[in-house]
Amino acid sequence: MTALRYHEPRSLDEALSLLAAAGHTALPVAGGTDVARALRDRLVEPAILLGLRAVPELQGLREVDGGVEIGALTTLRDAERSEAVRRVAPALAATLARVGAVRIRNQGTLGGNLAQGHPAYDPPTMLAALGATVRVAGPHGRREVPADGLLHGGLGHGELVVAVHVPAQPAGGRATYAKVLAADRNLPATLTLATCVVVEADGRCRRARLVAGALPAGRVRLASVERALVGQTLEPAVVDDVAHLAADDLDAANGAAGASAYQRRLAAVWTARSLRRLAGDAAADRAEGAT
Amino acid sequence: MAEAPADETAATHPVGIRVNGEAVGVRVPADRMLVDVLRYDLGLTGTKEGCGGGVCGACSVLVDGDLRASCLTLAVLVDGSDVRTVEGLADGSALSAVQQAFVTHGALQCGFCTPGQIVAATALLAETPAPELTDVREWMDGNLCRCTGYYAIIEAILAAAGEST
Repeated sequence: MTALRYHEPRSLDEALSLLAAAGHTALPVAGGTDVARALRDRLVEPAILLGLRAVPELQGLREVDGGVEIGALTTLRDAERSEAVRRVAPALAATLARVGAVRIRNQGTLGGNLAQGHPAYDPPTMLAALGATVRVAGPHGRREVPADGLLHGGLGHGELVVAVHVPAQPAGGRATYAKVLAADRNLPATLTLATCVVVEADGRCRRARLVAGALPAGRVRLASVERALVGQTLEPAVVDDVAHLAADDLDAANGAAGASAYQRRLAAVWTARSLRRLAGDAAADRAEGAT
Repeated sequence: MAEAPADETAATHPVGIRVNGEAVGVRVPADRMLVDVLRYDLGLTGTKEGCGGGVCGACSVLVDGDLRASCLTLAVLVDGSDVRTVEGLADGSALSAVQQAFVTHGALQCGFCTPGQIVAATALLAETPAPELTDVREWMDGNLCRCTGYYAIIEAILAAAGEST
């Protein structure tokens, strides 16, 4: 039997002081999907479980300045179904819907998902492409981290995710998420790719962010692809031209622990498919007179 | 229902839940999962444990109306909640529409995954009373069955939906 203790702090300050005092012997838990598995598999042996569900500062979901602020305790399912999220960032809602099954999304939280720092987890990859910011609190105070600043490293010791802020997306902004699964969909994805572009009225790409996940290096910005897209239209010749740069970006990031040849090929293929999908959206919007 | 006996040898925490409409109090270690509380502390063995990792669906229960994996649900985190298991779906001896449809359509063989299938289907129809085939397939993805090949399960769910709408 276990001597593990459970405690529910009533405020963020209380949670942080308990975490600071207990150090590595305390394990914060939100929804508990990852914590439950880790406990069962004895990957962690904490002395205290800090249940965060009663901490009010981590709750809530609201629209702010045309964007949306999602509290860390928001379940993946609630975020997926939120009117505000669907309005501000429909691609984020679509990405959330790809996480596990309904059962998992009803329990897992956005904060917990981010805190886990798993490179194959879906929401952080799309959040990075959307330019989201993560509000974090810890022993050294509060800080804001761009979502792609969590690509390598995640949270510091004793820190908690407080909320995620997804900014209003510019007119002409569109995004799509690709998740390449093995035949056993319970394994982590082989490759994930979040693609976000801003397309002007003339069909030219003003800005692009592509984030690949599930890689040995964690998540990788496809910076060469992004640079090559600026000022270009998304016509097939351009897409085919830039897509192969994805493999180069993977090589640059992964170094010795390289992405597999298969992942390199997938990155190029799915960069092309994602851009073609977004080109279709942009063309359809132009036909309807929207930008 | 009587309170389960306190365990003196480990740190335990009080958990109060309503299970199938009845208030229950247990004292559990912090790392006890809801599936074990249901099966061992409360004798409700309808809910099964298949994988212990939240991927097979055999442990499906409803927590405050939401479909959940009880094998991944720490009991201390559902203190104060309403839990419904397969034992709580029938009205006395009258099977629910979903349960009856599983019987009528022969949507089970060994029966091990069946409680989880029925609970998951019940949650689907509560949220989407008239689901399309794709809705059923997407929602039920994650309830594994090694026996039936799934066709009869899907048929039963669509039939149960048809009956209520």
